[in-house]
Amino acid sequence: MNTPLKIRFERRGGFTGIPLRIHLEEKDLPIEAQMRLRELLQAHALERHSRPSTVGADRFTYHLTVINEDQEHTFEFSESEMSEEVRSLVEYLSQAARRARRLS
Amino acid sequence: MLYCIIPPYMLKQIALNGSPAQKNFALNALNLTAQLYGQRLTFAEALRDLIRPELAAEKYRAVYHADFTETLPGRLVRKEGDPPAEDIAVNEAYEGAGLTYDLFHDVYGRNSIDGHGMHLNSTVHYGRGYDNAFWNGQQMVYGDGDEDLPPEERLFNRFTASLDVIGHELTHGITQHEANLVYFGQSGALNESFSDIFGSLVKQRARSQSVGEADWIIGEGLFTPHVHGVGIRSLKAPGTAYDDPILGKDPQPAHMRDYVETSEDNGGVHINSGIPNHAFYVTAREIGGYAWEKAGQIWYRALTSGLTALADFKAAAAVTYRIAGELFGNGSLEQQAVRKGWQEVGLTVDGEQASGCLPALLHLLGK
Repeated sequence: MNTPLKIRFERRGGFTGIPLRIHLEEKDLPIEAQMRLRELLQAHALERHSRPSTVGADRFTYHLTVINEDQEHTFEFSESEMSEEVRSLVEYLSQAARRARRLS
Repeated sequence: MLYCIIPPYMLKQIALNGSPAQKNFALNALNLTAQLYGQRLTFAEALRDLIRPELAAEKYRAVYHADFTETLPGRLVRKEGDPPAEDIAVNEAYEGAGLTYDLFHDVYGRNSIDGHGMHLNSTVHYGRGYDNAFWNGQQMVYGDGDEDLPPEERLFNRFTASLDVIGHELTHGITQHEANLVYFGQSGALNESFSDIFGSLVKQRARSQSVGEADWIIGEGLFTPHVHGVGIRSLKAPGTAYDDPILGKDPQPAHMRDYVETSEDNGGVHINSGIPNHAFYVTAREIGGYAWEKAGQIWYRALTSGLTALADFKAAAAVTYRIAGELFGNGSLEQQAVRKGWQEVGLTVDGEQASGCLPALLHLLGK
């Protein structure tokens, strides 16, 4: 059985420059997002999206830290460079973070 | 995506021989393809030069609807000369692009973003819950804020609601075609600052407001009533635009002693821009009258014929001071106003050689 993952997510940049953060555990994600995250980690797909964009301005960058037992991996994504698989995960985490900041 | 199924050789032919709309489509597709493959944009830019005379007509705006996806440009919903649409965001993007074009055209003699009549393309209703606006290298893009959350949880309105946001994004395009300030560290903060300054000037001119009458707020109207704040940034008083239990406090400094060293946000481009923003405000205040006339002219000339891609704050201070002397005379009230503007934020005007550009240079080199 897999050890539950811990997740730290942060969105930076954008027109406002106001960061958006959330810390959560794997069980807080819907099943589909949990599976997506596991698949991306297994396929090392997250590492392939770390190249920052040099075109344009006011884009977001996303920072995802996954803690698995005592191992910690941080991935950085540029908004303009994400695959659809990563994008859907990031969209879920962004919305969860936006809701959490209002409800906190 | 549609762009990807048309081979580049065919796009080149369309760009050279198609109708104006087809040419624009093909150029956008070539640019996007180049970006997708990590290539420089030189080919598409060279091609644009070739066909520029036909694009260089006059103000031409097009607004697209993304249908809440993240596909650009989306569905065309209003183009130059069309009557207003039913959709307020469409009309705000259209009118805001026009007012921004007018400032640069009527006051500074510039024909659009690239100086050669580039079409002003905007996309609204981008994504879901997208609380942002951006310039993607070719066009303006606007989200609807927190429209996907229940009304009581929303913090951000649609981003077209603020005219200075539209002016801000379009100015990023002008910067890209002029000084091309590297989007990191001090040069990145200058990039942001020019966008804030001209975004504010677009709004001030549209309202016929003098320096004293203007609010100098960037992002006015973006916050819902749930947020304690008047906007995102203040050029008049950086660090005071918002102070909210959820979003925190406006982190902008107004003086070099409070400069924020950080690797976040491309080295604090939206934070330290408060320093050159305030230098401009003080300059405009000292000159008086309408800020877009003299102070704006000095900063426009610095952006288009003074600064280089790795310029830092010190270089910006020296260049604006020199240009004020060229435009209004050495020792003139205007030149003294520039000196005072930079002095109030802790900078002198005595050296154009960029000295703090190493972080931006390393960023540019991918180190």
